[in-house]
Amino acid sequence: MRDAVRAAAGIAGALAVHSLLSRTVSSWTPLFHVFLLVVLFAAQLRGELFGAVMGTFCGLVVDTLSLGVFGIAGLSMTIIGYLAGAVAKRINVLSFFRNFLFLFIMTALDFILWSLLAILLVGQPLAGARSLLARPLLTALVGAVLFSAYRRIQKRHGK
Amino acid sequence: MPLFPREKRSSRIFIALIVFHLVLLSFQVPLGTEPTFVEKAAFAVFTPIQHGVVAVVRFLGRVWRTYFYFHQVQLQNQDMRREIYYLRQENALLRHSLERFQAKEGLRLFFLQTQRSIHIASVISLDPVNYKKAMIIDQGRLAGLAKDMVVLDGAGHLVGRIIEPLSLAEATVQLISDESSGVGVVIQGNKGVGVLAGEGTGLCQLKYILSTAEGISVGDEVLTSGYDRIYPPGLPVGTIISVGRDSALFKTIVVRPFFDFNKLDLVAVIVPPEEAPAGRRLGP
Repeated sequence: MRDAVRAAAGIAGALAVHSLLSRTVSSWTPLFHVFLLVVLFAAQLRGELFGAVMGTFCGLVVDTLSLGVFGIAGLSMTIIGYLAGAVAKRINVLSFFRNFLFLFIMTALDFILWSLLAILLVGQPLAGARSLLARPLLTALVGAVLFSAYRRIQKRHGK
Repeated sequence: MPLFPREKRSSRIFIALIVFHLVLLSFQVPLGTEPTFVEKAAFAVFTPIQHGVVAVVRFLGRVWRTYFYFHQVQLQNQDMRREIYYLRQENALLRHSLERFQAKEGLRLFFLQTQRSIHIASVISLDPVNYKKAMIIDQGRLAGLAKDMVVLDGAGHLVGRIIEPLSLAEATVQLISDESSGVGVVIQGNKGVGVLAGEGTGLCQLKYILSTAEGISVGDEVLTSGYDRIYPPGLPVGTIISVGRDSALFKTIVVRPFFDFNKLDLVAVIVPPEEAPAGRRLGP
């Protein structure tokens, strides 16, 4: 039950941030993948299963809000959510630099997987994909900062 | 002892999720961009959250401005901005079509066409994959919006049209810069008639202009022709930024749309008279 509430809060939060970005700095929306960040956070904190489920829901949200073939983002984010949870369980990714590297690799993998699926299903790379090359860097940077802040708050509260 | 060990259970659920997505894709691929029932349902569930967020942010902003600043001045200003917005739309439609139609009969037909209503809508979200393809607005079927209605920016420039999925209070707008968009256009001064298709990068390609067409140059304005029966004629679309002759038969023309992606806060949806319950009339 608590996990369901967390998942709903995470998705609602991502939608809220995406809406605010859309209305304020629209050109930044493709560079900062807020939905994937929520999936990676969930995977790091709650494991591969929760990561995969969050990947499914967040992917469905991305597919709903974007044009193109419905399901591509859902599939890629489910795989990445599961993979991220499995990796985070086996490798320590808690320090800032390791966390940044982990988020960078996962975001880049999601981008590669999504592009491959787009080529396979649509027949051509999606237009504007070149502008997404900076996405892993920015998403990983913001994610690592947020995760580090989250861990500090947790430490302060003795968790 | 549990029936399935935790690791095994995780991988089974993961495989089930993958199969679910593959089934979704197998339904979606033959349909192309036409939305399935699942997509429509997801749209109806997720977009109200964004609608709510935008409403809360707007409400908080309004509370701050209205109660902590000049209460009356703010309200007056809001009304006047709204009025200016309507007048700009009306002015742009009238000006561009007056240039197009010189004869009395043409003007009469034009006024019949512009007896439409407009609905002002707020943009609540842009396409998260490529923001130059689509956006979602906070008006839907309840406001009388339907598929293929035309969307303009604050200055009356063409932005796109409404497509599915469309819910009661939200609608998807396909921008003219999307690759699958097609708009019938004419180059100002009747220099050529073609089809404008998006590139997905913010620019558009003007197709089917014969290599033999003369007088087309950088800076020429492109307007809707009305031949596609979706976009009314005379709406300003963009400016030609390059003219080439790569293909033997047609020119390669690139057009930059007039609307600015960073200023798409409010948009105007043109609603035909028979479908407009509470909009504001344009024209006489």
